[in-house]
Amino acid sequence: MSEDVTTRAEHETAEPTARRRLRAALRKLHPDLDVGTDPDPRFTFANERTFLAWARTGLALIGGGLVAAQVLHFGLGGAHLLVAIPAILLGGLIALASYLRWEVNERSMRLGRPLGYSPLVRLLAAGIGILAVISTVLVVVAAIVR
Amino acid sequence: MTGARPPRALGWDEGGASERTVLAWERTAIASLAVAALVVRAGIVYSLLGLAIPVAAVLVLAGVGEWVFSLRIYAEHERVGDDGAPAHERALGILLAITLIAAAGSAALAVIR
Repeated sequence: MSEDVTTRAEHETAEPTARRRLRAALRKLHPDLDVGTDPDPRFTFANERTFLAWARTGLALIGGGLVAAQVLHFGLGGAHLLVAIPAILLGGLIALASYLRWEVNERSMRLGRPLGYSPLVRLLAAGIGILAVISTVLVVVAAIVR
Repeated sequence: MTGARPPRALGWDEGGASERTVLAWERTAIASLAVAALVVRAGIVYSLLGLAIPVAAVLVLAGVGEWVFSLRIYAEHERVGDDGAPAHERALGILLAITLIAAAGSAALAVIR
């Protein structure tokens, strides 16, 4: 082995501290799925489709929030933002939570553990319910003010 | 004699799992492109194209990427067997990042208008 060949560990210790920390943080973010055994491919695909369905739900909420910001006019200053911003934030939150859910499910399948209950359904239902209440209140208040 | 046939062994993808996954990616690509169009419209309406165009460009690239990736999954179909299917964690992570960028850009467009 030639002398100029450095190992990965040596290279990493030679790196500046900030870069090493960033690298370590990125490694933590990356899911460690190298555990257990490969599950049935149908389950892997089903888990992926479930994530994609949630991601589309998130995108739909983001798009809906954008449309609400442009289309709604309650005549109450920035009241339309009370509908638009929560919808957009809920979309982003659902995308993030569904990714974490996908990772947990993938690990559970690889380890042969049962899949846990998903809190995402409750989150989405509560979010849409709250948006409906806010919208109703704004419509009623706008009608009274006019 | 009931004439019932013994159950036959199913191939791993007789339920069309990979095909349904390809279609799910393609629907996601369409959703990304639709949100890109809404972002551009918001940019035009609020005269904030400087913010809208980069966000929309990311979403359009994501849409094209998702469509290309869906074709790759279909090509993977033949290689997948009893050993399991690949997890695609990087593609899903990129999709998550793009959705978060879209959310941040959309929120900014709605607030700054």
